[in-house]
Amino acid sequence: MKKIYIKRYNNGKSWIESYNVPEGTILEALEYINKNYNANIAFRAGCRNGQCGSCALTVDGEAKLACIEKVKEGILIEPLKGFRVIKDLIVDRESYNKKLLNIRNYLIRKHYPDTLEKINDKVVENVKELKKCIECLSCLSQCPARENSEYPGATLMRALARFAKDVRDEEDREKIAFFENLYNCTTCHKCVEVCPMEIDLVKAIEYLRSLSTKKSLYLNKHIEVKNNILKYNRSVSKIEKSFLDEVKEYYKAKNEKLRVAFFTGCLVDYRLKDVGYDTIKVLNAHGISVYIPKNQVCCSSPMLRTGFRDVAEKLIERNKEVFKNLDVDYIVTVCAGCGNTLKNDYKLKNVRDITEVLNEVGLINYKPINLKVTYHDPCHLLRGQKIKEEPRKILKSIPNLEFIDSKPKCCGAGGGVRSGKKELSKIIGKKRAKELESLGVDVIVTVCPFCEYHLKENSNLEVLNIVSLLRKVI
Amino acid sequence: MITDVLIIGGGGAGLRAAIECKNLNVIIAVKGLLGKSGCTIMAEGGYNAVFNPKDSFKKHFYDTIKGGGFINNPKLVEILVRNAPKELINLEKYGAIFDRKNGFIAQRPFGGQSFNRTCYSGDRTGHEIISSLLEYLNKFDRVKILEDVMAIKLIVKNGKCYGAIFLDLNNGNLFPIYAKSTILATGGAGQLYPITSNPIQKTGDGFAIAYNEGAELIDMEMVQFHPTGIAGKGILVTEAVRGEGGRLYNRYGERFMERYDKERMELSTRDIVARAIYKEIIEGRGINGGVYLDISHLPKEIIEKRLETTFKQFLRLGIDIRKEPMLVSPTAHHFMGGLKIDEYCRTNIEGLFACGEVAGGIHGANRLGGNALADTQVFGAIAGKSAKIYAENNELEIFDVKIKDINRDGELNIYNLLDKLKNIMWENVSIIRNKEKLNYALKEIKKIESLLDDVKIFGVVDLQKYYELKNLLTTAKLVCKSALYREESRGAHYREDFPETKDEWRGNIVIKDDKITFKKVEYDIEEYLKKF
Ligand SMILES: Cc1cc2nc3c(=O)[nH]c(=O)nc-3n(C[C@H](O)[C@H](O)[C@H](O)COP(=O)(O)OP(=O)(O)OC[C@H]3O[C@@H](n4cnc5c(N)ncnc54)[C@H](O)[C@@H]3O)c2cc1C
Ligand code: SF4
Ligand code: SF4
Ligand code: FES
Repeated sequence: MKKIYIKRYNNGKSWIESYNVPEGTILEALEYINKNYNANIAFRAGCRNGQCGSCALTVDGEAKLACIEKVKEGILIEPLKGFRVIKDLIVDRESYNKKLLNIRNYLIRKHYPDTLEKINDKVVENVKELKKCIECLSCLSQCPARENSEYPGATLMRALARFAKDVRDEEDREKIAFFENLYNCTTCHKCVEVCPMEIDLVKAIEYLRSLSTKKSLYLNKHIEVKNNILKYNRSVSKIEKSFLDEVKEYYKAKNEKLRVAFFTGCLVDYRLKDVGYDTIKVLNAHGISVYIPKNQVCCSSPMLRTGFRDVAEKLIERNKEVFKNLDVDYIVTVCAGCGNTLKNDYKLKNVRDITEVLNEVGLINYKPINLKVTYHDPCHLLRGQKIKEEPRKILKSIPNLEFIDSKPKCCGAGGGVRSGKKELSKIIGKKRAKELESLGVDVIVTVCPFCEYHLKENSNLEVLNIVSLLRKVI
Repeated sequence: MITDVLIIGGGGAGLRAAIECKNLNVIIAVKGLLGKSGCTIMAEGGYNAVFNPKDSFKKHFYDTIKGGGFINNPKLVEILVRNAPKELINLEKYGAIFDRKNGFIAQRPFGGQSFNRTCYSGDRTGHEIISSLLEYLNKFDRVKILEDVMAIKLIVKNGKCYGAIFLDLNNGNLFPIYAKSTILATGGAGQLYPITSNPIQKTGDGFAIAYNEGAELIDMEMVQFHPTGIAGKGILVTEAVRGEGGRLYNRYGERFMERYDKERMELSTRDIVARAIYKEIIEGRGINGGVYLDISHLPKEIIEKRLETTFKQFLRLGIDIRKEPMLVSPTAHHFMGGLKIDEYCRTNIEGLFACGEVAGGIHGANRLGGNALADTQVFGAIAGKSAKIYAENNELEIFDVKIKDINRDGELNIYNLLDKLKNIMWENVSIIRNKEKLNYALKEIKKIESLLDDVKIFGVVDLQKYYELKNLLTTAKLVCKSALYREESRGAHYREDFPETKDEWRGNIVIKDDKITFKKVEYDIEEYLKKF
């Protein structure tokens, strides 16, 4: 038997009850409780098999399907977050239903043929992939953009992308998406993480963005970024000598164990040069020689995330050329966004985040430091690259350092939101900063210059890239 | 509340009906979430429709009648096969998109068919149908949706229906919806058995509340058991697993199908495979209430790609079917019987229409895979049209309806009674039946019924279970009585004391107000086929 906790709600009152239940799914547990404890807990379910999407709820803070998720000792079950609660675990889906009307969630065309149409197999496949959605609304429940703005949430963007991919549909779906705040999404991938149907919702959103930019529906700030890229091959403007201008091409480590190429990214090159120098020092200290190709350019993430595919293609081509045939073991990034793009958009196999590479060669004995730190997971590292433990291992191995863990949450900087939607980005950033501040730490450590910049702006705490912290203890 | 057309049930049939009535005031009232609470959304395999020039309505008609043990209502079957393609085209108009091969509609083989005529959308055909109907319904603002409500009684006076009384599942209130015409689309009663592929809502409510008001029900003994459900749970393991080469073994590692159908082995018809597995289990050759279904001899890629849903389904249960066998047992799947309808989906109660699984007569003694989805669309559309015309020509009448008070302060736990009923049905009124068992079951059902006044009801969930138990008891009695009456074996109905199919029993059992009448099927098939 396992003890579980259930948050109940009725007529404005809410309270928590605990029950002992046998092993099995949460749905089975709820049925068991109603049968054996006269509990009359209200909840929704249907198929018992992950097919209908009726039973989504929150388990220890995360959206789950009750009929799939297994009971574990001590879990807390609550209604699906982000919706008005009607009773116990039943939420009001009306806000979602209304949005469906707003986005004109039906096939729109002038003439309907009365015989079967010939449709390309590929189109069917593409549309089908986006129609897998069971409308469980898990993806809406933890979306930072929806929580903090008039953004409808991932599955509605998915619905629009579904019509956009459907050759039969004649409505201007990207336009509807644009005016439904398509650009509020931070591409944090939380929706993808919770989606039981494993739909790549961010891909759908980026697809809509690529259509909307073609129709000149974009944010002016993103054009500035684009212009920077066209001018400097960097997403930010050049104000002084860059990191690449200053450094040597090669920094050999003593007792070399590994050789890597350093992919700097825009911010390290133009704004956070110290992070670049720290990276070289830290890598060398771990026995890793560093090669720095001078012709590298922006990874293209800012363009891919905001819908300028054509510009991105050129950057990708250039970087692929520059990093081809190097005599190195890996390409190393210190930016979650760059790493994510090189791995998932370029589809390069030899890319490693700095924290991965350090763990791989073996952590060295660090000097003690009296600091209380927490770690902020960059979305594009955690969900984009599935890297969670590596940075934590490093932090935990530093003597005297007191590590306080925090639950991952988007800081609001990604997806072009920081540049394009300042207000929203700030609201999300402030909330995240507050959470981290409440841990009572001295420093926030992260592995992404964008998160670093953004959290610095929105919090009173010091924010450091993990390499900058390591620099102090090698 | 008042409306022109009241639709009870939001599965494939109910939603399709609503589209026909879009220009009137419509309320769709659903026990759960719209579209999500029925069988339709779970349907995997496909939708039968004649599209290929080499196929024909005649063949589809004959396959259906043959599968149905020649007791289907031929007029309904003719309507089904002739309209199935049209309704599939309609579905695509509503937004659905069925799989294509080189641009043309793809069709797969399915049991009992002389031609590959099952159209599909991967292994999520029902989901594709429901999501498209839901999309299309967004267009019509006169169609109102009422979720989490359960119809507990039809409002009927002098043989005429004026709507229904509902239980609000969120606050326990009872309230009426008065309507000029009412469509029943509540589906079947898989939950009558402890092991079922059906969702939790399928408790035979429609059968029971209609029967209570004097509706005629036809062929209620015809309950289809799918041979392979996940043992102990009943969740469907698609026929495709056997189609791809899956083998059945008992606890001694014996490929027992050799003893039941040496020719076709695992690919024998649903009823034969279901009976074989059931026998193995009952006679002690099973494993924890199931038998092994093994596919591990197939290449990994085939399992991962073509049987993706099944593969993932079992992985969640901690079983890797690429390496180990699944445990399966037959599972209650589909009710062929139901409200007796005519070609306009009219029942014998004026103003009450029925469509989808709650209606009977279309599939006879056994339903072919892929015919039920077509049925929901074809007869959903007809019921919608008929209800619309009826509503346009009849007046609303509003009068007080009394609902009997329930004694809530008894001693007994409803859930235990429910379990008891289900087990009785599984052990005595499922795949293999005989007179003794059926009589025993009937006696036990009546016993449970007599305890209904002695249950304890603490809250709304209990109240819902109470009404469901009541409806299940009514349905159980109808199944038992019809099954006792039919002294032969035909289609899904197997009597070990009467194992033969007999010509004098070629007919329908109709039950109304506790009276059974047997109507012989008169039409000559050869003659009828000439119509095509
Ligand atoms: C797992 C599975 C797979 C299947 N695969 C196929 C297939 O591949 N091909 C095929 O042709 N057929 C298949 N079938 C059969 C087919 O899906 C069903 O027969 C058909 O979908 C029934 O549709 P329906 O609209 O009549 O009822 P359902 O879809 O079951 O809908 C019933 C509706 O009525 C509501 N309801 C019930 N009681 C009440 C009440 N008292 N008050 C208010 N609302 C109520 C429910 O909430 C639900 O919305 C399958 C069935 C199952 C279970
Ligand atoms: S990626 Fe993040 S912000 Fe964008 S829709 Fe998904 S959850 Fe919301
Ligand atoms: S996209 Fe995924 S998470 Fe969102 S509603 Fe659909 S199935 Fe659920
Ligand atoms: S009950 Fe259908 S998805 Fe959980």
